[in-house]
Amino acid sequence: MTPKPSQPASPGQAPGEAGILKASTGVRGLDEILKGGLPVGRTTMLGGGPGTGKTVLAMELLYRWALADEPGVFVSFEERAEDLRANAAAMGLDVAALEADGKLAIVHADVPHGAVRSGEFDIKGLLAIIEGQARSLGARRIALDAIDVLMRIFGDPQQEREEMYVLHDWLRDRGMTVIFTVKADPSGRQVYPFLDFMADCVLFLDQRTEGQVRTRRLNVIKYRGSDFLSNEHPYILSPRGVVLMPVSCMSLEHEPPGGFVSSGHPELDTVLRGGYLRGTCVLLAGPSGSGKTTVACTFARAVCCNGEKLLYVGFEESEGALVSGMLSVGVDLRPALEEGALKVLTALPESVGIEQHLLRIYDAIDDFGPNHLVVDAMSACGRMGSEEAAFDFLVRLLTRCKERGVTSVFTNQLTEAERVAELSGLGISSLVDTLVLLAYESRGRQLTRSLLVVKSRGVDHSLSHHRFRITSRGLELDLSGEGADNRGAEA
Amino acid sequence: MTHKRVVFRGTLFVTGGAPETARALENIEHFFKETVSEPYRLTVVDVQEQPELAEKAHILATPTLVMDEPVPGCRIVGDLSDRRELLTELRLMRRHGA
Repeated sequence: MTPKPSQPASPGQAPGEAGILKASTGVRGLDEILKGGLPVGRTTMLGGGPGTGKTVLAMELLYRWALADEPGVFVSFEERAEDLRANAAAMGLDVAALEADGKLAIVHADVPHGAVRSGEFDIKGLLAIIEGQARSLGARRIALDAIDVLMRIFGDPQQEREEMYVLHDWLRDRGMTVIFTVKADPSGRQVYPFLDFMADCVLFLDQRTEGQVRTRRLNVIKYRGSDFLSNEHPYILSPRGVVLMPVSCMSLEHEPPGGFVSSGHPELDTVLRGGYLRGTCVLLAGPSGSGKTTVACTFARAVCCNGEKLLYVGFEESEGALVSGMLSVGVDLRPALEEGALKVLTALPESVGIEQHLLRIYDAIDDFGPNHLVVDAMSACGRMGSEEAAFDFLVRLLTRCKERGVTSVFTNQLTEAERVAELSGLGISSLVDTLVLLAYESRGRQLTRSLLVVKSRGVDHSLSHHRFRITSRGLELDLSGEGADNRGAEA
Repeated sequence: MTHKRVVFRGTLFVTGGAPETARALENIEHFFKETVSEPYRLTVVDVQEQPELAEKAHILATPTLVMDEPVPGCRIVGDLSDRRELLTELRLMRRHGA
């Protein structure tokens, strides 16, 4: 076997900031974390405990590269080829099709049990298999899944180490881009610490449970010659593959599209001096039964009537219950739903982790392309595991909406005890552009509802408490308290 | 001692040019000629020449001796310098009193 010189880079690869050649991974969110992709012609290690998705991520990397005309060989020391194909299919990866196209090969390099050792040996058999497959496919991407299983054949720590370096050097001499996975024990320790040193890039996958909700996180431990985003990055295993949600990439560099969109209610528009500002964040806060959902749905119906699209994310009731509830106050959502201008997405907050909630909503935003979004109610997000998780969820959703120029309207249920300082809820007040407070009080035998615009950035809004009623014809807002002397603008 | 007529049949997977390969070939031939005076058939496969055969037989390490007969067969990894292991595996230990 004569080593071939390193292969030149294929198209689509760009040198990183430090001159390192990187291959874009095609895995959602991963390139941002890795500042471009994984190192070409080098070794990347994926470590993690059972069930963290190491195998699936390795398969997806090879799959995405193969789709981009960069064939690969997936060598499995543990799972059988048919199981790998089935698991990949569940993640939306049609591995069999790429195999048929000669873009991807799965080698089940079963480590035979009960083999007897007699004298010296090395892993040239494995190298020959890899070389044979790589040559027939023209492959320069290799995944070695469960390398810890391969190491069992040595039974001697010294030889394990030597053979791993032989394997590493051999692949490197051929300019192969290598991903290998290795199991970690539950404490997160590597079973084979020297592998950390051998690899040029080390990613660690981890899963934990917070408040009965499981979250998975990816951590870049090292990346020789390259910068990367530190911190732990939540990820999920979705029907469209692995999705990472890098928190630190969120920018605040977004400009609202400008202009007003009607709140759907002429009097409320007057109070707001035009309506809601497009692409900003509106918070409707108030106790249970104060009319938050009615105000939000009035808006939804109005924008849908004007040919715009709205995504309604409901955490409290089903679509049917929402529609019939709104009918009783004169807000008919049915035409908008039938026309497809309104899409309702409902979920029980505690059903899945925040990443899964976010992904579902992100996907809906991408697929449906709404102009506006309603989340009813964000107070329910507190049930997504922890207060911290809910905050994370809201900030990320809000940021995504601002990036896309989508107006976001959040409702938040307040309890009697909560004071103005906590009005905007879960600590996101500084990100809210418009805050409308809904309240009611009992005077004698009468229930009086009132509405106050606490803030609306850059708008000279009314500072009065306005009485309103909810009737079978919708909101009725009393503008009689409106005077010239009680206006103000918030910076 | 009476010998049952047994045909040994197996494949030795090697990497051409490696020092272990020469040792393994020498050891196995010596073993069959000196210790087992029975007919045998041994195929030698260079994994570099025929990687597909190595893949089919799940050969990760070389040299590997895969014996198909006598059934149920066995698999020995290494240059076969440990003759005792070889004998045990080929179920000849008792017969030859080694």
